[in-house]
Amino acid sequence: MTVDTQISIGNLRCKNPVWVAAGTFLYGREYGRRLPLEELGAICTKGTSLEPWDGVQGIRIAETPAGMLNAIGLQNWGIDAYLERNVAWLREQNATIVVNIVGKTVDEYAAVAAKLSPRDADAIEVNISCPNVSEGGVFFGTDLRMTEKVVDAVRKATSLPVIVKLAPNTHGLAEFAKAAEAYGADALSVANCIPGMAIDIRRRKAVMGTPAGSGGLSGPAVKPIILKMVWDVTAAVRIPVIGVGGVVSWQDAVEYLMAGASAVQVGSALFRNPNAPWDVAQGLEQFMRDEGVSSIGELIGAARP
Amino acid sequence: MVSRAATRPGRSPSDAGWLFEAYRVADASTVGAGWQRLVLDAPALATRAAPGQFMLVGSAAFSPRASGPDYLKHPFFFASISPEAGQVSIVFDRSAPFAWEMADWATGTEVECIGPLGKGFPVTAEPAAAPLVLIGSGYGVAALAAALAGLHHDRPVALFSVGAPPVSPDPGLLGVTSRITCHVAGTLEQAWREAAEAMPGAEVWAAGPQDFTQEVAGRALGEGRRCLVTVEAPIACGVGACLGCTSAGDGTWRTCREGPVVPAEWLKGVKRP
Repeated sequence: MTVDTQISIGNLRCKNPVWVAAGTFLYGREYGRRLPLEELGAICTKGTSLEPWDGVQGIRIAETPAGMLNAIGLQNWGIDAYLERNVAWLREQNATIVVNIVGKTVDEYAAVAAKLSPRDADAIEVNISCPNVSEGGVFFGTDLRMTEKVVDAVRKATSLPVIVKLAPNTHGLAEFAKAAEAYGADALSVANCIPGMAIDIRRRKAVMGTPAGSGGLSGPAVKPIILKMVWDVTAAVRIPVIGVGGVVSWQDAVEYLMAGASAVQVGSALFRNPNAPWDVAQGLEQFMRDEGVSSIGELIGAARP
Repeated sequence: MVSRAATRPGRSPSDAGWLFEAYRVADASTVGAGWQRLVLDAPALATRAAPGQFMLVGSAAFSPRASGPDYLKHPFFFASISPEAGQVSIVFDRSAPFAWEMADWATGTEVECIGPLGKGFPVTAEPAAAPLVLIGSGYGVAALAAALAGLHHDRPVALFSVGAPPVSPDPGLLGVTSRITCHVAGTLEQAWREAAEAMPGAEVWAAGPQDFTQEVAGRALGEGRRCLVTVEAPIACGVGACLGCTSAGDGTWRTCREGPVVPAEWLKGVKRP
């Protein structure tokens, strides 16, 4: 049985709905030399800023029950380094490229977006939700007016599809989703890591190296929470929603799709299983065959009343 | 800040050089006081691994528990590498938080590994004229035992274990050449003094907890000695993609990629949490 796994996000066409999440895949080389990137729906690059960022000094990783905390602080080498070092290689791999962008000001977001031509990226994911930086990041994603300003500025700076990565730690996430949609977002990623922390009981201090001692929780522990957010947000907007949080298996992906997501992103599952995104894509396709589902569209929102 | 990526010569596995495979535990045994040793049947891995490199190890079956760290795989130095037998081994502290499940792994258990990862000791480099002192603590002694076994050149080598070693170097090595000696010292101070008397001006390789290797690095730099040390950081991906193990001293490096064996000079200015 032939199954059609293709999805569309604005003008972006993807072979399948299984992407890799920003921050877990850098710019693709570390994993993409083992398995073909072209077999994935898309890859979201490391969050990339106008200038290089050093990231958090201190502990950046802590394992938690059924998950992990990270506090990378968006370390990256800047958009110019991305353009010089990575675009050509990613294009050689026939990867569908979603460049995740970050900034400390609205103007910085717009400036990064403006540097990306259709040669350099197939879409832009606007990260307004990183919990581990003191400037930018989640500051833009937890203030409705700032969300509007950032999305508006990026929308005006690029003709590429714009995906806005929402913060999970807001009241009324649907309102942020609607605001992003109203200001021109083509799709929404729901969501980023959930703020969390761990205490080193011997040292009597927070484990993570951020000034606040906190980090972002990801992994299976967050999946039920983010799944509910996807359920709620897809009811509030007309644009596609991409589920991001705790996808480690194809069954997780199917749940997100049935909740209303048009695609999923696999993140920290890579650390345990470097084949995870490819395994999820294959498992999803097999599920469609087993269930007699000819088009992925039949699964999207299938669990909704 | 200066990135140390691609600035250091030496063994550098290609991006595609690591394997993701399931292996069978060939032997599980308690060695030393509280140390557990696992021997894995890992033929392909054993032909690629080098001393000082590491691998990530986790259970083959993923089942999130209500408590206990079991989501990520955990990093271990190779304690032995035997391409002939198709085996590698690791040692770990049975009481470590990550060991809650591993300590019960028995012969026949199937485990998943990603490796070999990172840059190891330059065991196959051209022989240097200077003698070599290997100085380790805890699990670092195991990594150095693997290095000792892997050395291709016949320079005078002394291995010092600060505290009881979790594993002893292969006794057969001592028969290979009279130039290899092994010692147990009570403290780093004692080991350093004995090493200086036995091998003045020796190059130093150190492995173990970073508080320990950082002290070794400081001593070696103070005496103008060539020195390589292992560094530590919490590891998530192990392949350089997540930037979770980035450390900063004299420049920045990914512990899993530019490390875990680094020149002592890099540790200048390192702040430990």
